Amino acid sequence: MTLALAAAAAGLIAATAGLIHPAKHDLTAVPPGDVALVNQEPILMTDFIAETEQSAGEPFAQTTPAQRAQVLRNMIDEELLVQRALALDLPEQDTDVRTALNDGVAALVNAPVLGAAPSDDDLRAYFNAHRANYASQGTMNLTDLVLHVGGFENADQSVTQGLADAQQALYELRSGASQDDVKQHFGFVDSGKMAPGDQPDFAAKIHLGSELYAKAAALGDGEISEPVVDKDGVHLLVMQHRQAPVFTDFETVRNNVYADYFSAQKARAKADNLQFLRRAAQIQLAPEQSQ
Amino acid sequence: MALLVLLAGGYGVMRAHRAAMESRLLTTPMDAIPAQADLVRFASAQARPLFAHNCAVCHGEDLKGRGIGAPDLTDSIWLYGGGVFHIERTILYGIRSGAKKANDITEMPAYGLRGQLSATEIHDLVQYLLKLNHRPNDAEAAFAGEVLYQGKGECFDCHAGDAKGNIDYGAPDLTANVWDFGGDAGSLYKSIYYGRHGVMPAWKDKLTLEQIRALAVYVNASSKR
Repeated sequence: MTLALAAAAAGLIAATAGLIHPAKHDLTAVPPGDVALVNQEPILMTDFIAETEQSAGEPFAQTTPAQRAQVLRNMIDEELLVQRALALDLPEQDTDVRTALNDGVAALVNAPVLGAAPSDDDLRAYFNAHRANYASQGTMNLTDLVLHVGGFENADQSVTQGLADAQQALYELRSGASQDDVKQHFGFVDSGKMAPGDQPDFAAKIHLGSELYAKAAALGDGEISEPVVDKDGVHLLVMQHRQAPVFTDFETVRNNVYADYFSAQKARAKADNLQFLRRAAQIQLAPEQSQ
Repeated sequence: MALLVLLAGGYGVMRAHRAAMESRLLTTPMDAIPAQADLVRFASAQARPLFAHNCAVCHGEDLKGRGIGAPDLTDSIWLYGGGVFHIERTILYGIRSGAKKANDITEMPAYGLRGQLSATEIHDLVQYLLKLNHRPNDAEAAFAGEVLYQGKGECFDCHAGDAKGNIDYGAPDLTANVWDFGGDAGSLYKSIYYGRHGVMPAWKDKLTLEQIRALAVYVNASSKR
């Protein structure tokens, strides 16, 4: 009976010792599995072994105490500097640190994306949706004639009247009339959106806007568009010379499509992650930014 | 009252024993653990429910993999090195997990999808792989495949000239007839055409160091050595 009570008492003491875990910041000895504590932050024994083997280029058991001590010193130094960086709030102050943190999160978010191989159909679908990315840059030498209507530039005619005049002007241009004749007779002017000479497509798109550009891009040498109503009036697009972009076939650019596909997947993963973070975050804007 | 004291005492002894074993598990040099049967038994008992809860979904309850790229952990093949130490590091940091300490130096490129090898060339390489594993093959195509392996395909760069792989890269031994993604001709063709990018998550900070060590010991003990 006495023995049983003694065992029970010993067990109680052990239980009490086991139940009361020291708080993280009360560690006075290096916990098992760690090789060091640096301001209570552990350095894993396994990381130490791996670093030592990498540094020495041989199995841990064959490394010398001096080699191990050097590696450990380096790891402690690194941990000290990381802790110092946090104490100095470097993530707030140093753009390189912020970039590294961003990159680290991106790598974690991208990991599952990179693990999902696309099919041929996926790549072809991506290629078809982004064909312009796999084409040479086209150029156009174009005159954009505009007949202002509806009060624009003090024009007093209606859109309907402008369209009727434009149809007549188009007929005359196609019959051989000069642009000057049309300007004089109907009141068309050069919109000034297109600089003289060949302009690359991207520049034409910027200056003409998407709708006019789309009409222009479809014209061949010497062709004139149907009248196009835009916000400043009725346009006639006269193509002097068109060098259409040359589209590359899928097989030629497979490798590029593959890389672009993954870039797009990563961009989407980043956007999804940011959306998730934004939903979970409390973001407050100054009044003038809220409008 | 005496019964309560006895129960508490028994519980305390159990906890103390467990704490002592956990400490031993973490302080014993990793390469010495497999020789200590009681420690392996303790670790395996701790690890089994953890494995079932966290790992079996990919590797299967029986650790034999599930044909989805998660390897059979009971064989003797280790892409990134066997033994408690290497297994533990793989569990800690994963494979292509995005963690900087993960095993992610290389991946199997998508030779067909990227247009780097034609369908015929990939077929020839498959025949060469079949030949390497002493399986029925088209001898002429296998010869062409060997030329590709050592030349244009640059397969030797990761899998080594003798095709026995390289654990530094996680490049498998192509002569062992052990295939994570299937070893039939169709699966081999797919592996070369689409590439492979096996991913394993990092478990550091999701499991404790004790739990990870126990899993490493358990998996190591389950493999053929």
